[in-house]
Amino acid sequence: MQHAKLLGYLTLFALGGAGCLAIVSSQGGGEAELPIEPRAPNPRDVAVQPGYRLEVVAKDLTYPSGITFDDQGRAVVLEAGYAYGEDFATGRLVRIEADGKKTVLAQGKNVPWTGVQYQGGDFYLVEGGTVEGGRIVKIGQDGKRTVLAENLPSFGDHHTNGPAVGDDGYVYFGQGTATNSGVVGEDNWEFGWLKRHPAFHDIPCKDVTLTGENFTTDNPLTEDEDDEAVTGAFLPFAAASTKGQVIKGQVPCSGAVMRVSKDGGPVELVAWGFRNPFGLRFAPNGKLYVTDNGYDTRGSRPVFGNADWLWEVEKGRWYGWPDFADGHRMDTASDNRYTPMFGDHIRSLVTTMDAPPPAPTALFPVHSSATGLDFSRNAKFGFEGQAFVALFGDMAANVGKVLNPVGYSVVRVDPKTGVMYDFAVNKGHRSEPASKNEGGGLERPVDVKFDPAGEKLYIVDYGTLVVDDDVTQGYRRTGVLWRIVPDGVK
Amino acid sequence: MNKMHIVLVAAGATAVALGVACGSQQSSPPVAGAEPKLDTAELKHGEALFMRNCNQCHPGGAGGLGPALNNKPAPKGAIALVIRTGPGQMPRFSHDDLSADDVDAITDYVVALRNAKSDAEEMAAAK
Repeated sequence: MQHAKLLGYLTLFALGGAGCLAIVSSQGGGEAELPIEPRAPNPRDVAVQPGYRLEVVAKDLTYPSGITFDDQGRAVVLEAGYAYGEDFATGRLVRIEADGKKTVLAQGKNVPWTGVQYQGGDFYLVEGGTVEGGRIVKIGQDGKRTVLAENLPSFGDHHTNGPAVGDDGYVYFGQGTATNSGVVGEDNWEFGWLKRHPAFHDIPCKDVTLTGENFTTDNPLTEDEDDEAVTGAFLPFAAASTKGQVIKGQVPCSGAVMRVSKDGGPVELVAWGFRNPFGLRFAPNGKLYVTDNGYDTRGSRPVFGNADWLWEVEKGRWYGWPDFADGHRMDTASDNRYTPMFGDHIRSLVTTMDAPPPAPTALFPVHSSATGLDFSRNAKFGFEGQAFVALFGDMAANVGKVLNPVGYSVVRVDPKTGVMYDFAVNKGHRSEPASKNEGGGLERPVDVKFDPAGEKLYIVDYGTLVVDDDVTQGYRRTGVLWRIVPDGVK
Repeated sequence: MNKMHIVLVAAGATAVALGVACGSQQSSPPVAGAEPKLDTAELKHGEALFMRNCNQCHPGGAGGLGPALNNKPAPKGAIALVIRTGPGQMPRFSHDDLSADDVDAITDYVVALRNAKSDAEEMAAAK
């Protein structure tokens, strides 16, 4: 016992002297050793909540990103048609037949296709729009395609996401930001989009007054290796800001939840100040919730150690981006907690904002990439009223360093308390993807939805996506559709 | 024991401690549903505080951005000291952030997580 205590205090001493992050290399789940073995999904390699079982419904999907169910209860999966690392494929809406065969209902090139919901005979589909700008599209069962909204600002880091179709006749969707934290930088060049759209930048939803913070970087847009660029917030790359400069707000905008009528019409702002509002869903109590990915430790204004979030969306509210994290103002946060190791102290970019943001409903692990969600509505499944959330998994080391893989699982969250526990996670010594632990379990869960009866939870597993020497690479035909079924339900 | 001997022992012990503290291979074997038994109001309070303040870096007590907590034999006093001092990149939680009772509740919850992990490992081994 004395030895245990001594080791405990020495551990404390060791941590205090350096800090693990300073001395250990990053251990992200995507930092796999190549080549990647062919995928063979095996439910036995996944630990699920006792009283439930996991089944494979479909495999060999290419970058699946969402799921919905038609009038006959058939699963219809969305294939994104895009992977980070600039692998452009075809976006597809694919019905999974009872015998496992796949029927393509629609396809397109304005990828990534990020989400879909079926309601009243129509599919409401989100074209993420890294090619032509984000779109909200309605597709009838006869294949007729109606664009409800277009030219959404999706050329940057994050895309148009969602949707959630409300009972009020509107399609709600999320729009991610162009950048990590408000400033276009060399990281956006490395992502690829700054070459295609050198004038693209974040757009505020309402007028903002800048503090005049500027950031100096190399200028990859010119051939002069010594050329430098000075860039301010909400401005194109190499455009400096001045103190007191006002950037006019407009809609559609970056980092927002917006909506459009199911019949089309103007895009309306619902709430803003998000970073990457990805998964939207109405809870059984009628409230709208959204998952949101926190800042990365990258680019001109890197931010360290903030969570991903689950927010309850209040109409008209501002949620904190680009100056707040976890509900805290970053420039005055205690202990400089969001400042990267050896990095500059984070200063605010804007002086005028609405009221401070609310506290998040729940905080997900740092870099876990909280994505799709749904709420349990049926006692047969259990956990009624709780949210089930897909954690896509970290993209370290591109987004920052981690000591262990983070995410690659499905968690359940009590929205009343923010308490969360794993519901499905790979067996093994770490919560890492199948490609890392060489098993047959989960790779990157990206969406979860209950079937129409609310008895079975479907997991859309995007497939293998690795980060090798800072190069991101997706593997086509590695996506899997899983299903969690309670014992006693066929 | 001469001075050189003391220095060598201290250096070796610190290296072991760093390995224990940072060793990424030592995090929890995830077992879904292996939740800690929370039979007191204080433990439930500790759970809620942990989820708000700690879970982001130590998900479920396992490693993530930060090191795992549930594989270390650290006594409650050491856990509380870490919370107050914020070693390395970890934020420091002052009395304005967390009261003494709050810290006690969190340390109790961390121990409960550790026990839940041990129970889950034993169950897995028995299968």
